[in-house]
Amino acid sequence: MYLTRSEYDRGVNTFSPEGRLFQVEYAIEAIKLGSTAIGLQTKSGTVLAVEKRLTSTLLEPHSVEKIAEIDVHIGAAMSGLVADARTLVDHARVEAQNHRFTYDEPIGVEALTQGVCDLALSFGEGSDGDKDKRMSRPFGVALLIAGHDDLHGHQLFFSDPSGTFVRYKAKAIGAGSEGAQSTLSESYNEDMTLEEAEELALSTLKQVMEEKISTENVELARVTKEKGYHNATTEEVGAVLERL
Amino acid sequence: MSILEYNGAAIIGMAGKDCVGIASDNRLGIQYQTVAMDFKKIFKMNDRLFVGLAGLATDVQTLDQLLRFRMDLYELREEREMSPKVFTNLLSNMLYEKRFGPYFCEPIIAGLDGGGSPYLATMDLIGAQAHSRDFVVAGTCEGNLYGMCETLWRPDMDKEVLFETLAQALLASVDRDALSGWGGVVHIITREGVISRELKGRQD
Amino acid sequence: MFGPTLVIGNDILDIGTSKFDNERDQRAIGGGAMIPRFAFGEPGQFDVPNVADPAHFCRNNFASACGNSDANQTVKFAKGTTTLAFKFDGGIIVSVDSRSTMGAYIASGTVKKVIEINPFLLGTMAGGAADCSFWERNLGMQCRLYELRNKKRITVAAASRLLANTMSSYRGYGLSMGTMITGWDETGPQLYYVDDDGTRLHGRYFSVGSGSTYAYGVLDTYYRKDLTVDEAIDLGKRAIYHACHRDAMSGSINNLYHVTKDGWVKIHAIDVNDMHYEYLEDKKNAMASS
Repeated sequence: MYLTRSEYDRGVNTFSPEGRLFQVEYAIEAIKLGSTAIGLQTKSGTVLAVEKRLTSTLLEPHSVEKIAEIDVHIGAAMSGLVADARTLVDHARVEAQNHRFTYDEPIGVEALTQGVCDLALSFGEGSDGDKDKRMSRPFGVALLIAGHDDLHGHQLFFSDPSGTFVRYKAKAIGAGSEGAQSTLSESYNEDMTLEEAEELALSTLKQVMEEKISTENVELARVTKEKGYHNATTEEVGAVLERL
Repeated sequence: MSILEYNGAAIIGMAGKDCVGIASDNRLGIQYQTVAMDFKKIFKMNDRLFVGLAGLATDVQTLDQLLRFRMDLYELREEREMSPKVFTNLLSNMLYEKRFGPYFCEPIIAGLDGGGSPYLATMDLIGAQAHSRDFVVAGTCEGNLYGMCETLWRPDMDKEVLFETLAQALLASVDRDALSGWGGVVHIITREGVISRELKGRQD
Repeated sequence: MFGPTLVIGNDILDIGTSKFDNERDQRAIGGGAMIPRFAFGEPGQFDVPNVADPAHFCRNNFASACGNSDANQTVKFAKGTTTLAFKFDGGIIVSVDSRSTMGAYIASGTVKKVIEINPFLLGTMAGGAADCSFWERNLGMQCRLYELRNKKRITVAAASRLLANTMSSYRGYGLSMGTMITGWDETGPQLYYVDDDGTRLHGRYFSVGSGSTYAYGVLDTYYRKDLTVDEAIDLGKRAIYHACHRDAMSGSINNLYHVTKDGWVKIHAIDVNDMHYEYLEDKKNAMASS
């Protein structure tokens, strides 16, 4: 098995005889090294929560940003190679603005996710005439894309390096995802309020995090119909932590 | 821009039952600059004959004076009023005399003939005559005027209906033309006399 | 003629390869339907005439730009306008007419010539209506991306520079645009003039369009830095009225905006014709009392 792998795991566009693309699978593995990120969808909004790994006391916590605004109605949480995520997030922003420019309406959450996945999948050598420089390897990052649109309401999408995307009611990614996902499966219900969802998100993070949870080492954001994307302030995070 | 559009104008002649009307706007501009809002474009030749001149303002005034002169001379020599038909021929010939250096004017002639029935005629700037039973138009918004007249004109309108039709057709047309408007004037010629009314139009 | 020379046989062997696809793309004039993956309107994103000097071709055939006459040009664009904007102690006033003309024909009397780029930025429209609205919407998009990427609002100086840069990159292609970009940023109220040849000017007041000379006459006479908000609104309104009255290409509705530190507010939309009789009344009263 090991030998078979070593022959086919180099080229990003070469299938193994078993029909696998190893580089893509390795990229998916890379996410499991990333910090935990959780997304929850409720009837009144979606919640995104991410663990920040503060590897040094000298690190400025606010300089670690793992939830990004894509447009007023969409946000994304990331886990894996954060540098790769920046490219995807910027691409997503441009997609969202291009849609607004062309159609004078906000982009749909699924369409946006599809746009991100198109880029995620466009790795490889590329052809000679390609104007845009391509990524030579798969993106080593997974995203939780949360948003609201008029057609499908509040939505949470998960996308991974293979360019696949799936809609979830609640999803955890990153190092603690296994434990977190089972907690979510037990505790999530569709009728929870946005506040309950925030509490569940942070309590789940609390369980899987190695360090003690604080306002410093988590990031929280929500997307509601009324106020759109909102990144929680330290005080707001503190208030949720108090309720746990 | 054509020299005919240098000053801007809109003129309509329209027939009713035993009456005929002529209407014009009030604007005098130099291209897109509005200079005056009380410029006269319709001239009374006699009690039963009016002429409207659309085109270059200087030629409008010159032609009016020339026509006035020829009318007076005719009346002195012939001891009778000039009929609309004769007047049309006179004007047509005056215009063609300047075939290679024309007056930049398109006239509209509105009057009552000997029998008291409406007479309408128009011509181009070198005198090609065109007669009409219903209406004639000239000016920078000719297309607009045709559209309004085709829509509003009805056979056998009395003098009040004719006035209203002329007024509405003129005002609606000039509101879609940058070079004419700023108020207007309507004259209704009947056997009993002439009714003249000023129109309040948009000032932009 | 276009791209590499075609050699039959050689070409057939390439079918199904990327080389073939590339060459086919180069052969296709215009490139077919293109779904832009990156920002709209970047130079090189538009199809241009397939001639040796596309800019020259554009100038000769549809160059209504740069204040040059329309003579001999085959395509004419909607234009004729009065727009003005001025800074004062109470913020910025932006006041425009709403007439759109094609030659002497009045195509519309209800055009929105103030473009709301975002809650803090306004742009005005003079020249080609399509050029103005397209590029100012494009500017809105660039400003939003700036905001997302830098987590702060763009300054008016930077926004107007973005637009001026776009205009420079299409210089000579016959774009027609004379605009004022106004807004309130961290440096206070700001006003810039940007046009199709890439000019970008900072100033206290500007007026753009065929009726601008009339508007300048009013502005030059009555403008003061310390106008109250009500006086400023009246000045903006009056300047547009006089322009609409005298300029055949301007008229219909006066739309007026006030920009404050909290963003812009629309103050009014008044028929210029109603203003005429209002001012006529004022004039009569003033003459009677003196």
